[in-house]
Amino acid sequence: MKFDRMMTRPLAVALCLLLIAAACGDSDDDAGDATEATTEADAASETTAGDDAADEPTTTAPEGRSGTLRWALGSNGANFFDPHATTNPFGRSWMYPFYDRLTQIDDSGEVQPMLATAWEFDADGSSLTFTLREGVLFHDGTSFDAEAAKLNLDRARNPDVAAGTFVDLLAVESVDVVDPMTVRLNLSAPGGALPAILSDQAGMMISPAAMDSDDIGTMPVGTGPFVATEFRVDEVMLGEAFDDYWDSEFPKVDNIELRFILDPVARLNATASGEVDGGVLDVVTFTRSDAEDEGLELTERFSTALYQLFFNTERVPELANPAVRRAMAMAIDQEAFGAALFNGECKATDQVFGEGWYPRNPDIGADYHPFDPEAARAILEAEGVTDLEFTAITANIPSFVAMAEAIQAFLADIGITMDVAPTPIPELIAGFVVNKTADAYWSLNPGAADPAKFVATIWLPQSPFNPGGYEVPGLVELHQQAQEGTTESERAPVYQEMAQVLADEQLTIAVCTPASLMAHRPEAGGVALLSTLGDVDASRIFLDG
Amino acid sequence: MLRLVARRLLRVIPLLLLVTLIAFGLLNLVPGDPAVQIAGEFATAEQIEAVRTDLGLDQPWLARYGSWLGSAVQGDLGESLFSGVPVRTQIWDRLPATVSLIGWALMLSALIGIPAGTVAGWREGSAIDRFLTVGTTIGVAIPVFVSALVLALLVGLKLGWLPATGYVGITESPWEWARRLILPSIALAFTGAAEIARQTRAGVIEVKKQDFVRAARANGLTTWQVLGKHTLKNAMIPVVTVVGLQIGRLFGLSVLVEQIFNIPGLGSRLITAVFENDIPFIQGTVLMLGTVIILVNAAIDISYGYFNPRVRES
Repeated sequence: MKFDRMMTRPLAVALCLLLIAAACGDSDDDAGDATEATTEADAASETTAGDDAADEPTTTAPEGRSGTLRWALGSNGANFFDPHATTNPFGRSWMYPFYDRLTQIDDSGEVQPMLATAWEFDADGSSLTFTLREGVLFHDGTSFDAEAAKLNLDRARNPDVAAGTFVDLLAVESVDVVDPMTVRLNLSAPGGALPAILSDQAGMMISPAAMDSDDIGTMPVGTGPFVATEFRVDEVMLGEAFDDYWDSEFPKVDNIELRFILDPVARLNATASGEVDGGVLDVVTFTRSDAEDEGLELTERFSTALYQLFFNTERVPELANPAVRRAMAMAIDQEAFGAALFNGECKATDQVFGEGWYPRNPDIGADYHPFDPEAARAILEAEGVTDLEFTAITANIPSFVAMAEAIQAFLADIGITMDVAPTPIPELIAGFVVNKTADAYWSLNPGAADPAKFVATIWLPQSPFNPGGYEVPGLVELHQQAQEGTTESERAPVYQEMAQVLADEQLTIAVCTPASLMAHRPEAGGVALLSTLGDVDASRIFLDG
Repeated sequence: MLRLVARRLLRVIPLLLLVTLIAFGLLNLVPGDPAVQIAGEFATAEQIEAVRTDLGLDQPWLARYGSWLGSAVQGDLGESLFSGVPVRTQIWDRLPATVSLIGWALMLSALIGIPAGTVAGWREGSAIDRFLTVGTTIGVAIPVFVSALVLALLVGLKLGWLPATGYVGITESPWEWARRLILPSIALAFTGAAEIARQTRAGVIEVKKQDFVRAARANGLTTWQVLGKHTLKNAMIPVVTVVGLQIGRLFGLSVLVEQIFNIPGLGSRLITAVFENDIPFIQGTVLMLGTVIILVNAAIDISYGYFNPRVRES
């Protein structure tokens, strides 16, 4: 890294990464024994989420298992590991080494088997049946079977326990054990999203013997490749290889240390000096060459995460006018925004579904709403909008404030006054979602395993990030229709239509998709980033030599 | 002397109560509702209220304070809001790193500051005095995050002489423990050493002009005897005060240094606790640090009695 460059970065900026770095992670290329398992899920998506992957790994996986992998995570989430209860969307990377899911999403974005080897919707879509993998043990020695899966799924959809996942499983009415290795989800609503949703936290399986323990939030007991041995809040999670892991290919190291290093400068320093084998690179603070100059390799992924400006259309009536929102979108120079604030590592976009994701509409490019302040001013004039003024809250972290102020400047150029209110993180959701006291909200929306979750969270009338309850014409119907499809090929056209509607409506103004970048030492191999979530699954990384 | 000790210790009690009140009161004024965070964005008002009840946040302020204080005096500082891990356990886990860092920094500050200030004061107006005065001015002026980054990047990464990040416990490897604390403690000691040197210099200059020092010289005592036995001991009161103040200051600055050098101490945890609105941890840490600083100040007050018998008599 460049010495003078780093010296100009105040530490305060570094601390900002609490949210940004969280969007970074790595994935597993190797979808377990996906190829030997069968699935009814369609793999029709032709787009490949790995198109943007940087350098190919230069290391080769060793035959046996050796060494201790030390990986630095910068996301805030090193404090609570109950996958169903946590509401922190940035904590998944801490859980992957310890919890397997029913399904997983492979490098090309397709749903693949994990603890479930196959799944099938019945003819009328009223139930979804999973066949479970045999011979799987939890870390406490108990067996994974249909009864365990049922207990987990019932727990994950219980709003009193599972604040983080119950909303993912609203379509599930009940869960039945069909036989010791088969479980059936009876659906009260179309459940096309469920196979992908169960690759996320809702599908993480906790040992039934441990799930009611007071310690389950700090000492995971799953079926993952590592057994948790020690946890220190916001510092480190230690694990040792699980000898009885069902996938004989993994883990490739004896021990794992997930370390929480919040400060991006310290994180890169720790990687450069060899204290850790790799970690998230903050693209706001560093350029790629900063890491490469230290002899580090980079692995990247543009996930489904998105920087957006959210509105409360109820509080500011002018914002309920789609023409006004479109004018605002045209006032923002996304390329300049990404270049200035992200060292060029935030891809301009005018649609809400990221590149390489099957719901993406290929006809909506980044210039769908071209940067044209003059045209934007004309639209506002035609709509009779003058003196539009509102306040946007954003995290009181310097990088987020800088981004919001850049948007403020763009909007000021077309005569819109957007005051920026830096707000303590604990107050953001309370202000925008719960109490609905904020006009607008600038934030990073984390990636989602399935587009249905994305849509349900943000754009439906009852979505928490649509506090004004604005109704995007036809969206509820499209959402319903998409859920009725059970394969990606059935769902893709509906989502592409949805992308078109959302691009026209601009209920939220999507600005750019940030890169998830991992900087790691050359001896760390198998580093990859999950195709939709952009998270790191450190359990798949190995050390060469 | 015993009366002095007893008197000073008695003064500590109301001060500690005041610290508990301020720590508890201030955090109640901090905006944000932890219950909303824990319940998540999809929670209903009833679910948020249930979390609030579960956390005891629905109780009146005074009732919560009384309950917290009652537990705190028994050593129970509560549990972190998110992890549920006892605050006492977290403080206990992280205290060794912070104490090691501050201990090293304080030792370095004193080892550099007192001799430098003594030489400068004794040789007032000389070239070495001017050199040290300029040096201490620079030392005071350099912000700790600058010195920390320079040391980490230049000495740690570019030159590779010492580890740039990380911490190893003394029980794990005393050698690594010491090696990894050198750079952060130097960064932390810069300002302290400069301040101690300036105070020592001023004290020495003042004392060396006193009649009893002249008399000692006239009696034929060596320079070392005059300096060590008569001058330094009398010049130490303001220096000890500064050293005491440094402890509080070092706790504050350790927040930055721990971040830059990735040391898992109290400071780095405090930052995430503030981001998370983890009120029990913040309260527990503030209480613990406040107690330490008050006790250190009491010890310094008591030390005046050692350096100056007139304090004892008064």
